[in-house]
Amino acid sequence: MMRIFTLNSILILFLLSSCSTLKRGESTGVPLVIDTSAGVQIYDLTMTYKDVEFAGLLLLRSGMQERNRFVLTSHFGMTVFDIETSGNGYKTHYVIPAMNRKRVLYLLWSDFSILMRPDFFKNIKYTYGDEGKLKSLVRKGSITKTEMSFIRYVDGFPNVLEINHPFLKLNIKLKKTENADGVI
Amino acid sequence: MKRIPDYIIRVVLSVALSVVFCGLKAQDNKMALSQSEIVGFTTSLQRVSSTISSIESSFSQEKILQMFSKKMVSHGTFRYKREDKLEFLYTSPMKYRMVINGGKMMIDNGGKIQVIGLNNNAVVKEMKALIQASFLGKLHELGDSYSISYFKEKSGTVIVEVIPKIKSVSDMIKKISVTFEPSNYLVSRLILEEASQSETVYYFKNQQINTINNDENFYIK
Repeated sequence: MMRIFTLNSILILFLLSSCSTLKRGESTGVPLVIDTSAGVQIYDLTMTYKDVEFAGLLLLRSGMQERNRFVLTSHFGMTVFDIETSGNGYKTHYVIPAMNRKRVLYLLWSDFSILMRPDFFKNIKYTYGDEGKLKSLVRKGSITKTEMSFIRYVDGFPNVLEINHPFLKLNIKLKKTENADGVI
Repeated sequence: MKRIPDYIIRVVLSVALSVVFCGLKAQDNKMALSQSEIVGFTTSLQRVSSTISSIESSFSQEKILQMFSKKMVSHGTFRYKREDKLEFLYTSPMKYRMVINGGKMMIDNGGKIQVIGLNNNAVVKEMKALIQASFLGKLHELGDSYSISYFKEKSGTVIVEVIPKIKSVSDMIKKISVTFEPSNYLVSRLILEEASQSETVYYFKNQQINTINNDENFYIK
C-alpha cells in the first residue's frame, strides 16, 4: 500500500513539474516551442538558400483561433513579407515580388504552422530531451521534407530554433531577441 | 424607408471633420516650393555638395510597423565617400554592416560575408542612386524614373519627395522623402514609405564633413 502511494506521489510530482515548465498542444500533448501568450515576439533570422544568405528580423504575434501574423524585415528596414496564417491557409498582406510564389508561400505557411503548433500535421516524428522538452522533429515529405531543432531553452521555450529543408537546401535559423523594439 | 440614426450621422460627421482638419494641418506644415525656389534650392545644394568629398555621421533607423504597434530602433555609423561609396555600420542592437562600392554590395553579418552585384538587386541599386544623388546634390538629375516634388517646412527645412516610377522599385517602395537642413544643405532624415504599408525612417546626426581620407571602410573583398 505504501509502495503504491509512493509511486503515485512520484507520478503526480512528475506531472506537476512537467506542467510548470512546458506548455503543450491541446490534442497530442506535444510541447509548444513558441510562447503563444507572450504578445509580439522578435527573432533574429538567418535564411540560407544554397550559397545565398539573408539576415533580418522576424516578428510574430499569435492571435485568436490560430490566426498568427508573421512579418520579416531586413536589417536595412525593408519589409520582406507580412503573412497571416490560420489552420486552413494563409493571407498575404504583403510579400516582395521575388517571393510571391505559391510554393514559397505554402512552405512558409507549413513551417510557421509547425512552429506555432508542433503537432499541426500528423506525419511528424519527435525527439525529446531533458524534462520532456522537444529537441527536434522531422516531417517526412518528398521535396518539402522538414527538420526542426530547438535548443537553449529559457523559461520553458527554446531561444534558438532551426528549420531545415534538406532537399531544397534551405535553412532558416531563428534566435530570440529582446532588443530592437519599442512601442508607437 | 429606414432613417439613419442621429448618433451614426454625428460619428460620421466628426470623423470627416477631423480628417479635413488633419489635412489642413499637414498642408500648413509643408508647402510646395515655387519654380524659382526649386531652382534656388538645387543650385545651392549643388554648390555646397561640390565641396563635400565625404560625410561621416551617426544614424538611427526606426522601422514602424503599424500592424504590431511596434517601432524597431537600430543605431550605427553612416559613411559616404564621393562618388559611389556608402557604408551603413549597425552597432546596436545587432552588429551588421552593409557596404556599397561601385556596382557591388557587401553584407557582413557577424563575420559572415556576402558580396552581391547591384545589378541583381533593383531596390538597393535605386536606393544607392538616390542616396548618392542626395549627397551629390543631383536629385534633379535622377531622370524619368522618378517623380520629384519639393516642399518647405515652416522651419525652413526642404523636403524632397521622390516617387519611383519603375515597377520593380514601386512594387516595394511607394515614396522616399529626403529632408535637407537649411543651414548646411545636408541630409538629416530619409523616410522610406513601403508598399507594405510600413515605414522606415533614417536620422543622420553629428555629420562630419571631409574627414574620411582613405577607402578602407568601403573595401569589398
